Amino acid sequence: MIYIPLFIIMCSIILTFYRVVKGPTIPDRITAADSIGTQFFAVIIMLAFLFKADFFLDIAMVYAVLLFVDILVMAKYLESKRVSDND
Amino acid sequence: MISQLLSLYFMISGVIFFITTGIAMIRFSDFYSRLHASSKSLTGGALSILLAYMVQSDKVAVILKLILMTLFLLITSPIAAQALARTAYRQRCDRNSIHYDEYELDSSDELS
Repeated sequence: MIYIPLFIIMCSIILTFYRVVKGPTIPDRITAADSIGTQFFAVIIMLAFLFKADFFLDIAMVYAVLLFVDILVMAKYLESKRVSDND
Repeated sequence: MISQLLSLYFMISGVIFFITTGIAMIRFSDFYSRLHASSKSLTGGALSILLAYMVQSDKVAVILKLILMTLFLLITSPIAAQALARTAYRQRCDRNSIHYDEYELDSSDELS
């Protein structure tokens, strides 16, 4: 029963990955990677209840913190670099 | 029984939010539309999945962890979206998609 939402979220991750590969600018790719990270965060929580293992929730918490710091660091770095690939 | 039904409802709404994000990532045409779609509907989808398990779980520690993750996601997702939008604006990416730029009118002297 729980496999159907997992399958649909995996399809959505594949659709989002198209934007990571193709995306014309660098912020496009970062946004798509952020989306994949949040969707995978939901997948981890669903796996925690599928396997009945509570420590997966701690892993999901640390994953959310690392994702946030990742996006913030990349945004700040690009803001100071002023790089652009299409202009 | 009620909790099972509520959990199913939140699960279906979360999956709909996620598939909306996936379709929006492909169909939308410029960066700011994609950022808008990704930030809002991703927050809604993750919150729906968290609520679905918060309703049906019966251990206090698990519910507390889920509430903590909900609050964290509600705080950090808009911050990340705002930082990305500001970076993209400063790099002048996708400038043709901005029809009316109120930010530049407000701060034209300090941006240079």
